Amino acid sequence: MSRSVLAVLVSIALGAVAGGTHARAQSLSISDAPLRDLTLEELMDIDVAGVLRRSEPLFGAPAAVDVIYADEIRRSGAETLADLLRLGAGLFVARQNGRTWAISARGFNTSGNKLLVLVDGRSIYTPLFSGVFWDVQDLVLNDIERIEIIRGPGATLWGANAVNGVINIVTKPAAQTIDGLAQVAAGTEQRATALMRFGDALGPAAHYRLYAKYRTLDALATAEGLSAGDPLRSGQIGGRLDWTVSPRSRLTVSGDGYVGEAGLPGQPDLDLNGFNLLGRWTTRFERDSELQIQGYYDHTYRLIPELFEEQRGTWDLDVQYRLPRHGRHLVLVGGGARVSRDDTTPTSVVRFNPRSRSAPLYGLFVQDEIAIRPERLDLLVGVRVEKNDFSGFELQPTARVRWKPLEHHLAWAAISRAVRMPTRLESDVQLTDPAQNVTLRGSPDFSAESLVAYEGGYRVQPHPRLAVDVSLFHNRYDRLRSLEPQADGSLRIDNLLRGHTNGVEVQLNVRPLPWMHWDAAFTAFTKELEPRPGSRDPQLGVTEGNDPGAMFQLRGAIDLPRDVELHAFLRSVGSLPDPAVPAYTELDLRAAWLVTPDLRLSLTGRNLLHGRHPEFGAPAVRSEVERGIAVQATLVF
Amino acid sequence: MRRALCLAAALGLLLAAGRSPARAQSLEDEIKAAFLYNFAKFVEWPPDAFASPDEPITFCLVGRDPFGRVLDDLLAGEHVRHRRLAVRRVERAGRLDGCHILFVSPTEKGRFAALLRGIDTQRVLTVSDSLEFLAAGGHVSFFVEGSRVRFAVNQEACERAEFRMSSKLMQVARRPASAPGQ
Repeated sequence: MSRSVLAVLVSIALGAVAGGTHARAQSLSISDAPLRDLTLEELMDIDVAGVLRRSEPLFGAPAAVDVIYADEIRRSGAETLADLLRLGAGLFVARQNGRTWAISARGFNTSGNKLLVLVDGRSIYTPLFSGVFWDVQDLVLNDIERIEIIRGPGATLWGANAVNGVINIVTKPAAQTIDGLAQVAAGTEQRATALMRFGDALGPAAHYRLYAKYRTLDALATAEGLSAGDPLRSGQIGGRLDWTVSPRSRLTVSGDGYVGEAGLPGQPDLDLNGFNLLGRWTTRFERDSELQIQGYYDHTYRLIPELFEEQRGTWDLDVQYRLPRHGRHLVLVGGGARVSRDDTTPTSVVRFNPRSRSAPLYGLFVQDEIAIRPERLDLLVGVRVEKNDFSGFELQPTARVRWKPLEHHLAWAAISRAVRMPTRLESDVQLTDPAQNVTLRGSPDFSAESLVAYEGGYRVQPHPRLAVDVSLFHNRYDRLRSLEPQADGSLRIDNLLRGHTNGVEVQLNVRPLPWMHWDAAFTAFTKELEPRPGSRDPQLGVTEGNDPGAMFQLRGAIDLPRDVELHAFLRSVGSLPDPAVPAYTELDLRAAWLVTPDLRLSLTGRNLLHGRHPEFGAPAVRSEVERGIAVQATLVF
Repeated sequence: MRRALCLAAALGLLLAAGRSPARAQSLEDEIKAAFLYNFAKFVEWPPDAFASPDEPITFCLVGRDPFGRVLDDLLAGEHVRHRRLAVRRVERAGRLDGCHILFVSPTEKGRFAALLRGIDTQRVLTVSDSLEFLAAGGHVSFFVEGSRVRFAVNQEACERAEFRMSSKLMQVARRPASAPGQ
């Protein structure tokens, strides 16, 4: 069986680019009494130091949720978005080589196509293969307010491809970054980062920020310890403007542009560039009803010399309206249209037919949050109807129950259906491996992969300084992608796999003392895939997922006197079955010192337990991640 | 694995002697924003503070904004004594005309005296986060006591500006343990 064709397929799928909005995440959250309505005495009584922020609005979400906040981002010292996502409970993050990461929740890491990722409301997965090209996803990490990680389907609110989870990256409003920031970092692995950000007020009601960033990541290592020849370099500029047009209305405009190149051993570099521009208008009406209109354009270009060339432009318009509360009902409605057009250049290895395609996508959703017993029992029902260019109409309903049996206790359960739309990769591709004379063809009648997910969880905060969260899931997949051998020796992409996964995810947050945080997460996972009648796929989904049975992480953050912060991050990932990757345990340590109120210095050690270790992929196509040391200086002016 | 756990555990034990609390900043700021709203409810401005009967009560912010959208969201659509509530961010040397509550960010610490010069005639209730602010002649200052947000009032300065503070507000105002100027 031609592993190398698969390697090409996988490398396109994984190696290639990639917003729900803040308002939607909140729509998942419980409607707590606003602080505005509290009396003076009640305000005086709120404990601010002992409370885990986990207990703030997301404590009420009837879904499996983890949030990485700005201070955790700072403490971690992460310099790439992918490294930052390693902090997320239940997320699998692995680096296959200098430019390729596999990131997933609840399985299917190889295809990487069941996770929706959004930056401030802009979807960053590519309709090419419905995964994310992580090598071009960069941000000023200091400007991220929080990263919401919702495991499990979010398709009703967010749309197709929010199958196994949604990652929602929310950056700070410009009013919170009205100062200058200069940062330089140098290290053995994350070679160099230089970044400058500047923000200010534009009159009384508007603020802006602008940034420029350059980074170089060193090549990884081969199994023998030599350079794998796959460094990554990129430069990026961007900015954001927030304007409070009236007390009820806000306008946000943001944009970014980047150019990058990624090395390939003994071959010309990959050429990468792109830009995006987004506008969002939010208006509040009586009784907390709110209208949000958002539009963006996103352009990407990717050239892998002699193998693949694609440019893509995506227009997206999204409208949502939260109705005033009506009795027991809180209703959210919305809709959107997206048109993504690509243009590919055929090579002797990869060709798409048609070469260029414009793929429209339309969707409408409605969600009703019904207070059956106010403050005790809520039912959340919703449905999204979507029409895509490949498989036509898709229906994605969800029903969720939230029960608060006691104060600080929350139980939830949900049943949802989600689909992953077919992409150019399944529908229109033809891959040829000239060396082995093997061809793989897409099928225009490939249908959407579907999931019915049964989930439940319990969250308890027995003490203000301790929170425990357990979630369970049973996911049933149908019409998963299979590779069917044909009579002429070629392979055809079809929908002839099905199966199920089961898992348990446990999160523990402890803050024994005001200056000490501990966060632990554990995930156990099983997956069974089987052929549907008529399938002759001998691989049974090897190209879809190579998922570990267990993952564990422990993070400690400690504030010492004299403005010194320490951070320790220990993680353990179980072995991957096929292709085999050994289990590994790694440790990152960081110490940061606020030298003056404006200057912070830090020293970070990454992957300290081993000289190098592989994380993902077959030995022939993977590089190994090396131990690294980095210093960083951040100046606020 | 064992080596790593030992290391992590050692780290935890070793450091069990630190201090320097890292506060849950966002919640603290949300509470302060809610207090600002309450100040609008429980403070009566002298009649000449408003140019017209429908002039909104305007909250002005100077310096680095700790609230982000929190304050805007909290005040949106609300009315106090039939007046709308508005938020304005003003520049350091900006004019305070039309401001009724001025929140001075702690980043302006070096400039308190300059900011407060001549403010008595402006009918602006000045609020900050630093007790030095009261000493410099500011009206109200937040402070954190234990892990709760409190505020202290400079009564003399309030009287000079002819504000009438409701007794409800004065009952919950606290005197900080080590307040300069109070």
